[in-house]
Amino acid sequence: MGSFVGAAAIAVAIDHTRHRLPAPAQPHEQSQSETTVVIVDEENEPPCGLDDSPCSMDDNPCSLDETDELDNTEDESPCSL
Amino acid sequence: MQPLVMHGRVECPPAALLLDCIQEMGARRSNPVLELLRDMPAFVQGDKYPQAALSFGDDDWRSYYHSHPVANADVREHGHFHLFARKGNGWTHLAALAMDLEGQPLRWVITNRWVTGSDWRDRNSLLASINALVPSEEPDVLRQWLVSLLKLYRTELGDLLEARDARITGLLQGRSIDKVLDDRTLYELVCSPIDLTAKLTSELTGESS
Repeated sequence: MGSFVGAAAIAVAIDHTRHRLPAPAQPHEQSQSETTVVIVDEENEPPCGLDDSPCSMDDNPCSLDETDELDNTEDESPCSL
Repeated sequence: MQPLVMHGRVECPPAALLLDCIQEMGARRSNPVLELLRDMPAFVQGDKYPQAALSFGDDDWRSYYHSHPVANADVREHGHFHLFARKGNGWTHLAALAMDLEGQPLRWVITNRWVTGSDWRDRNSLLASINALVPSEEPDVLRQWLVSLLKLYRTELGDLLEARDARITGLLQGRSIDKVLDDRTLYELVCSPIDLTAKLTSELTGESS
């Protein structure tokens, strides 16, 4: 249990978890003629939501949950579940 | 540091449990984001990790990690965990936890409602959901880390929720609250920086780092 430790030990413990994270890959290759456009649209679904219940069918691989938010400018909430 | 009594049983303070998690991850050259991405073939911008969201807190919480471009983003940010608490049959977004390029917590962010499309809850109700969490009951180090961090930063999250509500009130200016919460020109409402070394040092030793 991490009780009775000093400030230096805490700093060292944290330092041991500093590891460079992988750079995010682009969702898919685009041709030069394609352009990614993010449109702020009143009709958009929230981009970062949980999308209904996380255990619902919404989580199946063909639901809107799996749609790439960068290319989906009409239906996806960027941070939904 | 004295053990706490929670739900009738002895529970270690969140700072001590968090440090245990950090030491465990450090021993295997890992961190919370790498724990999540460990078996993934690639980390793709916009995808959610895990795809079905991480369940914790006796299934009353969900979280996923992702990365996407955000206007005025902090260049040190790699991505963020979104944290949701159950509300009846739906979910409420508590906050996003931004992580830096080396897998360390960078800041708490509360986004506008439209960003997550989840239910809106008052501060006290969200704090009660945090109170109900028991870090040691989580089955793995990543969940324990998340829950310990939420417990450790409960006060700061309470302050941030208060600032959220004040910001919303200030933005009303004759508009309905729904208009403000769905205003797509407003992405981030409030944020608070995280200095985990200082926080753990203060909690576990009583010193300032």
